Amino acid sequence: MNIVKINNRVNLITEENKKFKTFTVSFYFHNELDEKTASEYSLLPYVLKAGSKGYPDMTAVSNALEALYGGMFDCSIRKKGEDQIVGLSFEFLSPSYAREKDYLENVWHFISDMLFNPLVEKDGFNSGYTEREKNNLIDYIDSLINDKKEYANHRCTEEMCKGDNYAVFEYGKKELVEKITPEILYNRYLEMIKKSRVDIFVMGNVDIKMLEAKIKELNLGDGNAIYPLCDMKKESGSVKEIKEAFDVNQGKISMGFTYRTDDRYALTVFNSVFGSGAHSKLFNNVREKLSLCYYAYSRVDSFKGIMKVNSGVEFENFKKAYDEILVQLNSVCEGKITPEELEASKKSVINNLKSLNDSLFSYENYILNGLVKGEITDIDEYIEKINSVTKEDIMKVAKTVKLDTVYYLTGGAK
Amino acid sequence: MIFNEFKNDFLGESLYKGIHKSGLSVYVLPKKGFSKYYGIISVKYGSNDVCFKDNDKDNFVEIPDGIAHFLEHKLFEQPDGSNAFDKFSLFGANANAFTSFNNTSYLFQSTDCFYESLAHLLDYVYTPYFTDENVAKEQGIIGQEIRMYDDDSDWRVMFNMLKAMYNIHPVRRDIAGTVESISEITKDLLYYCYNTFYHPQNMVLFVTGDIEIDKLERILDENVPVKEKDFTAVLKEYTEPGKVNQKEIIDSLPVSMPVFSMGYKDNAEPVFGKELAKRSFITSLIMKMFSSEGTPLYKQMYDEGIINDTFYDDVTANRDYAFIQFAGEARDPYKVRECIFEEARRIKKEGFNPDAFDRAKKFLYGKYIKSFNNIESLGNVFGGNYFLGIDIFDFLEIYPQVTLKDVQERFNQLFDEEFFVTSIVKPTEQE
Repeated sequence: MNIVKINNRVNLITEENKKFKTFTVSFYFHNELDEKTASEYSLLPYVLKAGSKGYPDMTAVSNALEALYGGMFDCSIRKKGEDQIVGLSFEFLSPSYAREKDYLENVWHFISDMLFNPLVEKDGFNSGYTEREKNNLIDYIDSLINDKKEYANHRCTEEMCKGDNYAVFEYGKKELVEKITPEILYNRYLEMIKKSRVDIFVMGNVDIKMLEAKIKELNLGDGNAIYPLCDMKKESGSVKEIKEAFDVNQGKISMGFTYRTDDRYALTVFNSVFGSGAHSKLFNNVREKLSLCYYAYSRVDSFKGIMKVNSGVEFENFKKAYDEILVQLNSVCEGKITPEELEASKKSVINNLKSLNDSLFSYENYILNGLVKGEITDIDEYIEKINSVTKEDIMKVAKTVKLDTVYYLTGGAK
Repeated sequence: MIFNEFKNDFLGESLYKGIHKSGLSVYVLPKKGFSKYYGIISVKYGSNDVCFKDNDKDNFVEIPDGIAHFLEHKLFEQPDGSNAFDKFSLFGANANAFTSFNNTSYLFQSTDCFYESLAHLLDYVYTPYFTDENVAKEQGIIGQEIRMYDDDSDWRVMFNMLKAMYNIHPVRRDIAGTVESISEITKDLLYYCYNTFYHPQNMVLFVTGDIEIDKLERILDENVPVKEKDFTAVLKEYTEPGKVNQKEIIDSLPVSMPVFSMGYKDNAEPVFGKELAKRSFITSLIMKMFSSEGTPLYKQMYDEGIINDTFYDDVTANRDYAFIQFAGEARDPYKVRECIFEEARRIKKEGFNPDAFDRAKKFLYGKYIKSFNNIESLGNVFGGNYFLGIDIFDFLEIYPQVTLKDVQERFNQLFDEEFFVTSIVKPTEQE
């Protein structure tokens, strides 16, 4: 992996690898997560994707991608701490499988047109596309409720971090989406292109040099943009409980915890022991032993310093599940971890790390996490650190874990 | 054990095929330079197979819905009281299993200890251990899985569509069964089904990663049983009447917007192997040219706000059941149906655009080559295709043969309003 600092604002990260049949090109723009601007940033890539001057509508965009052997153009909105990352990613078949001599030129023409030659009318984006994508975004925001598993998790985070920018939904807010005009959005675009921190990735089976030269020619201006920072969640000292009723068959419980540690390797292994995977305590006790649920797992957000536990159970079993989850946490605190559990937990983490080598986008995301945190750890070094985590290290992390918020999605409403 | 190499220089891939003395078919796709390994064993036995007989007996027996899926869960149980996951965890392998209409598959992904993990996969799949207690426990867990799907609008709308399409074929029943049907499952029934279907001759193993083929035979010898009897079970064949069961099913759940799944039941004669692969390829071309993002139909519906970007289409092509579907969220799913019908009439009259045909072919060509990047998805579709007689390299042979005329003919036959059904899940009325 190679990181070229194009200027103080723009990085180019490259890795050539012939074992893949494709290559990827991705642009990630880092913006401060803020309720006032979140809706604009989240709308932006979708309006860009709707059409550029060279490919003026979705038919032209899709047809161009088909002709490039089914190239992929994807938008993403990611939240890493209080960094709202606007992603525009492409994946194309490697030139060796394409018939056209100027294939790579065509690919680059498409990418650069979509990103840097937007369909602007007067001082704003195309108004029809802006309206249409606003409606789609609103539908998307409304549809969060359709997946009760994710909805419960989201509501718990929202309640837990109320008042922090972290609680802002990265896809925005309906009322604020409605207010966006083509002009506001275009200004947001210019601001992002000119001022935000940018990471550009080129990876996979392609001659990097040609694309690297093209990216440098873009002349993305210099500046002093930093990756948005995020404060760790503080302990609240009491437990907040929220119940919401829906017309559902199965209840969901989402528990939010805080923790305190600088040892991210121990934290990773702790999470693996406690609730991540079929070897974990939550899986083996809440599901297998007590047969209370189909899923029960924990998830850590190390950008914010919080952990979530999610499960789907019968309404009358809420208390049993809640109790068992805390019993299992306590057993980790007390060091009731067998050598086999420790071994399996480390190996699971290591397997995930090694697997990053086989997926271009997963590897990209790993590097992106490192860039946002200001520390990129080589995968081999990471594995070594995981291997040296001890039971005592895990207990130390577990003892700092404090329950903060419990969200119940219950039945009863019609 | 002899492995024959089937090499494709253009792709830079080789597939090795062998048959173990137990009758198990074994396929190896070596992937140099990959960190991941993937092993998956599939049995030709799925949720559809609820009625069958041993060749010796005359009468078909009917068993409770959901038993194939129940077996999938229960095979993880080990005679020493442990769970098959435990040992995989010690190898750092991720294990999983899934049941489809026609197959059940058991798999692992690892980056270390591949050969140990493979031995364990074979060992646990060929070591059933069912007790009254562990069956009762599983009824609780699967009960929660079924309840979870009951609240899942995408799942519900899809199964309602199948219920509308099919009159008697078991594809209209839920894969996991119902809370009632699984309550009838006993350990004896599980053993009966297991012993009937989990015969190496009725199974296929696929492994991929940076593999040394020479190491496989010993592992197979040690873990795959050689049965005295040949595999002889016969599945009941279902012949669907040439009509749909009902035109429409409307349901409700607390969702933000109506969710729909609608489509044409495929009434063509059943085919197998390369013929089936070719037919699926033609159907995929049709869908690409009819309703994907670059088509006039999509543009019209998207521009008018009739659909949003949750809209998708899909092709299901099996031997004895096949259909195409259009799904997503829409304020008014009937408008989607209207647009589909109208566009189908137009294309029947005017024909498809030859440029669109070339683009669709390029798209599917790229998609096929790209699929060799992802060893998990290669593995996950392998067993299903194998039992349908479809080979991993068939595509390259079929691809140049298909003409626009083939596509047009198939379109005219498949897009028949008589065979169209609509399934909608509406938002629950708030009181």
